[in-house]
Amino acid sequence: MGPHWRHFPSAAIGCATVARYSCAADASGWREVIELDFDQLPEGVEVLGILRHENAQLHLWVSLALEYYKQGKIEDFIRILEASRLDANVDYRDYEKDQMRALDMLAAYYVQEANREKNKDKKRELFTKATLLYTTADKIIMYDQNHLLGRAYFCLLEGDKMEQADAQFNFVLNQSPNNIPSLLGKACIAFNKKDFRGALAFYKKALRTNPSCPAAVRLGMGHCFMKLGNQDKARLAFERALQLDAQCVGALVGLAILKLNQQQPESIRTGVQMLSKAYTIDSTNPMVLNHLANHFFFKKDYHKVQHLALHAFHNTENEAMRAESCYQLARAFHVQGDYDQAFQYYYQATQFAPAVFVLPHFGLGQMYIYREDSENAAQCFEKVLKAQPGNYETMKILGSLYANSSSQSKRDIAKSHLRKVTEQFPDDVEAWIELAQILEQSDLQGALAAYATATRILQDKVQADIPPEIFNNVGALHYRLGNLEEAKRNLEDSLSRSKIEAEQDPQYYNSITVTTTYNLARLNESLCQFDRAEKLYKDILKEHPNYVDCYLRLGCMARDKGQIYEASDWFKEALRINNEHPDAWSLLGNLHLAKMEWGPGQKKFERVLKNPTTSTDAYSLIALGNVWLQTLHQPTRDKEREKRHQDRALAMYKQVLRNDPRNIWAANGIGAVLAHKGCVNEARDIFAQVREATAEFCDVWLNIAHIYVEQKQYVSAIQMYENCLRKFYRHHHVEVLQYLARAYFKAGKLKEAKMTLLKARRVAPQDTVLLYNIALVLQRLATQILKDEKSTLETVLQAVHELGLSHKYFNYLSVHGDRLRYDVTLAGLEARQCQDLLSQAHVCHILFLSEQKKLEEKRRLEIEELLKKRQEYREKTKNAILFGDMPSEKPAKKGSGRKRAEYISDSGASDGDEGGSGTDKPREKTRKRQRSVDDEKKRKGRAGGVRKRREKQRAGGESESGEEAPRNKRGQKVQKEPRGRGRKGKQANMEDGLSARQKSRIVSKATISTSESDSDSNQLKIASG
Amino acid sequence: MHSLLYRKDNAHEDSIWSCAWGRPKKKDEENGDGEESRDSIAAEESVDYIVTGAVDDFVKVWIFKNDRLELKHKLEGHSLGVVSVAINSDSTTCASSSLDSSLRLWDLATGDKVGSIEVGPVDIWTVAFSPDDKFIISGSHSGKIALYGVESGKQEQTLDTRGKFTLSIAYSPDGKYIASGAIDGIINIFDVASGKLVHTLEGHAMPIRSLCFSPDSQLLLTASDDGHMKLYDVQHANVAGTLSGHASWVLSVAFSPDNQHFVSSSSDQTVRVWELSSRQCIHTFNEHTDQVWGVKYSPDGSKIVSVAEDRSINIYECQI
Repeated sequence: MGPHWRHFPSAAIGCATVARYSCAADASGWREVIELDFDQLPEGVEVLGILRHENAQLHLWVSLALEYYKQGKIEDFIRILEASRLDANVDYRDYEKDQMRALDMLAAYYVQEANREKNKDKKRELFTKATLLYTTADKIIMYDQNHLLGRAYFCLLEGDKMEQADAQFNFVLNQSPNNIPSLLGKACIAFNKKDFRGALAFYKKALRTNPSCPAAVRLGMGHCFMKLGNQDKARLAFERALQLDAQCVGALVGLAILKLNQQQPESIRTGVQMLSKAYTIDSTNPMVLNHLANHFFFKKDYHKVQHLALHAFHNTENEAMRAESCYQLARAFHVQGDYDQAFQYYYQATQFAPAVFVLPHFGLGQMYIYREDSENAAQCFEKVLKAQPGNYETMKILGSLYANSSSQSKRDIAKSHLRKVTEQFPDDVEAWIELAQILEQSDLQGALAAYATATRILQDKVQADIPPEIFNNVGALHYRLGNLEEAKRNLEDSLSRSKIEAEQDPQYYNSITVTTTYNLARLNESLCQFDRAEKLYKDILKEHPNYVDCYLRLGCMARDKGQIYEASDWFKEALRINNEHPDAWSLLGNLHLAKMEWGPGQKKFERVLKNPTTSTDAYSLIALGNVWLQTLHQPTRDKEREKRHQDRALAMYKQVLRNDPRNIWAANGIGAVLAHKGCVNEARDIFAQVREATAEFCDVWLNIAHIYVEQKQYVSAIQMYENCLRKFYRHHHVEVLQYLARAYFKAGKLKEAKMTLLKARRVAPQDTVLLYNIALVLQRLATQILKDEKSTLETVLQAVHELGLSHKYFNYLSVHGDRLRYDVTLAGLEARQCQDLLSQAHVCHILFLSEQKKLEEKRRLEIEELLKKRQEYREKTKNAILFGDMPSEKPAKKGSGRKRAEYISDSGASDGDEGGSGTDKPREKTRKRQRSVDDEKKRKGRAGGVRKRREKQRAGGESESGEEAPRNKRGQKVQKEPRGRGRKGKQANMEDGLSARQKSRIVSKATISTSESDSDSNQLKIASG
Repeated sequence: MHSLLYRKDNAHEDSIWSCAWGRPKKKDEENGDGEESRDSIAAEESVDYIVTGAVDDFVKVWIFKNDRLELKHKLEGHSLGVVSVAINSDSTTCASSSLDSSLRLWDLATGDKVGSIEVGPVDIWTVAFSPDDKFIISGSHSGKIALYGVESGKQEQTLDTRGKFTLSIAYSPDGKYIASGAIDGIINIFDVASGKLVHTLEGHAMPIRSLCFSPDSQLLLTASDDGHMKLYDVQHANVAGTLSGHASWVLSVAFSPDNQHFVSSSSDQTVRVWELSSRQCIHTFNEHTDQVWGVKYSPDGSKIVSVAEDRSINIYECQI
């Protein structure tokens, strides 16, 4: 971020002028008055020695001293007066009065010196001397008017005794209502109390009393008129003061300011001339110096500004004046780019400045912005805004500062500030843009509308070209809203604008071009124009080989095409640029996990967590949790180990939740672990909450469906699986189709199960697990049809045909099956079962009959016979149907195949009027099969579990996650590291499920189906592959 | 000039998995030599056959006349879903294959079953006719490609890719090559005369569900689950183009007889028409509401048929 230099608005300059006025008045106003007091004294010419020698009367001493004073011989003046207290002849009438004069005069001198003195100690010393003198005088004639006046001015000067001074002036005025010094003192007090009308009245009274009174009175009146906004009368008063006293610096400055404020070249020149004249009269007057500094600032003669302001600073004790001087200095350094010096002087200025003088805070705020200390910057601008509520420049800056705050309430303040600014100044393009940028976080449509307004103003009113940044940001917004074509148009506009602008400022606009090109590439990915996206990424890399994101995207695209090794190469390339890039490591880890390489995958995520800057990386923690969860899918008899792994997974998820209580992936993972532990209800509640938080998380849908299956709510499960397929997958997803088929199967909807499996096989014909399950369903379906007395010949024939297919498949699988995924001997047993069924149903006969279709009459008889046989058969084979059932809630088992006996039960015996041998045999077989099926399930479970760890990975869902949308480029505030923002957690992206990463999809799916811990209890799953 | 011409809803009871388009020669030429006569068919006399196969086990033969589809035959006999249908060059015979690994031949005019080939339980997948109509080729689980004699009904030759499950297969129109696409994305091109594997193309890493040759046999177009299509120069096995645009699996591709265009269908529910010279998509049809399993050009290239999971058949006009 560059320096936040802005030109001061003219309104603010006016305000500074006003501030200067008030200090001008109290600084010069009564110093003149004190001199006035001395002017009224008579004259005399003698020397100290003579005085002593002559034993001169005190009044002579006093007069002489005064003369020395007037000639600037201050030492003599002091010496005479000090000596007069002991040596003067006071042996005359009313000598007390002269004593009073001598004391008061010397005291007044010390007061004046003290006022000028900068050294605090010396100052106090001088005040002490004055106090002593006044106290001495008090004992002589307490109520001497001049004495009282002197004391009153002393009080005024000491600063905090305004009331005391006022009381003394009132005392004097009671005795002599037209006492001019008192009137002037009252005027001064009124002025300082901001009672300008009152002050003016006192001045006028003084003037009426003594029409020829000095320029200072006119000067005071001028200041009052100024404050009252009556510039004409102010000018007249100043001019009159100048007529009376051509050297009246205050009047010169006042007139100069009036001229300068007219803002005309001619008047400014006159004003400056007046200031110059004032400068020649009094080159130490801080007011003059400050005004000249101000002038030279606009003349861009910063050296002179520094000189004058510094001079002014050293010539005043007045804090407001000093604040002004510091401010001038700071401003000069600021504009020259010396931000350290500027910072110091702004800071000093804020220490001196009265509350109304807010410009130093403004400048200091800018310096804090430069130092990227937005906290302090915001405080400065808050002070400005407090002093000047509604100041729109300030609201704009605060809006801009708070826009990037991590606190939602600050961001809301930003929004409201910027809204107000745009309401007050509907043509302020900059404010509209700022508003648009903050709305980008919360209100996409609002942001678009604000950009549209800014664009319209630029086009219609300013008639300027739309900056490429706006096109880029509008494009990004459209992208996030899903208006891809609109987004594309804007991004392309941005690129062509940048190209033109780059002729002026190649560096900046080329950097914008890179960002926009990246965004365009991301957009092309969303439009499935992968070839174009790839070309754009590679184009960027040609110019900027360190643009890590491009490598990552190229890797993700390769991965999505199944080109795992190419993907890996791209990710490694990214690591070559930045070896600690957490996304690159995570993506690599995911590649391993997708290939079921748990160990290497785990190492990648652990590496991310070892890096102190990413030690709480939610993504890596969840990925590791998932790895542990994954191991739970592998049946084991080692209870200890299983519990250990459950706990490890749980610990990972919990750690994430501690940092981010709303992390849905961690919550889902915990649900999965609970399901594994058998806490189905608790798991269900968690899944329900996650599902409520977002509908965009496929795995939680599946987990909920799994729970439904577990709880035998098959209709709901089926609905859930089907919705999941519809919502998340365009193509047939074999895994989910298998789950669905299993739910159908368990629900007894064999036809639907068959159709579902066929659809899965259509896309994955190589999958022999599918084939196995199809064979199983065909067998079961045929069995059912053959048992059903109402079956028509047609369906019976088909069933027999399919039984034959089942037989064929099982035979095939018993030889060619995938030994790693299920027990092929089991297939052999199934094949024999089919064979039995076929023969028992006299299938040969039926087939024969079917070929003899012409014999309609006979056929019917045959059918009856067939049905009879089938009836017998059905009784015999009733049990077969059971074997698909899942022994869901199984109490403790002995770990032998025997436990299944209850399912097979003794149905054969009870129904078996065909004799023991006939029933025994199938039963035995069934039981064996049962056990084998269990084993098969175990293996399938493992394989299935593996697959469950979706290789979707993070990038899978990137298009859904806003963060992945093209990133915005702010005007001056280029966010070079788009990722960085999210990473640092500033945006708390994980909260809304939008990781800053490319891919936020974290899969931790529970596999309810394999949740039973004991291996033997592992249910027969029709489709878990 | 792309528009939906006709739509047949609920053409099958469930997902339609495959389609083919044939146009027999005129009646008086029926017994003549089919190959040269195809072009001589007068438009007004032509009868267009569209054959569809679905998961409901039926093969349906439709007649497309006056811009409408009429069901001519409903052919029974398959089990477990009809995965592929093909029509021979003179449009007299249709071949169909199903998941139960059976291959049947039908007389298009009468609807009679004229042959069937039963093989191992997993030995048939998609089918195609040789240009001379003497063979039907099919891939299988073992990666082997079988050439079945139409007359003999027997497997007469085998080409071994030594690869994975062969999902898709194509015979070049000039009769020289057979190309196959496997579940792992590998594409093999065989020289038929020598029976040798001439090229193995590794451009895709995901299943190849469809591939086809250009009418001049110079190019091979491949469709993959990676959402991309690639064009290969058959002779040199160079990639002549990679086409992005589909948002999901590309399920089916077909070349236009004009050798200038081709069409693709996808799980993203769209049908896209592409221009060969620019390698750009020139039109996208969004007429289906589910995955589009099959797409074919009419023999004169003026129309396109597509079939989908949504059970409908769409006919599009695509005069260029």
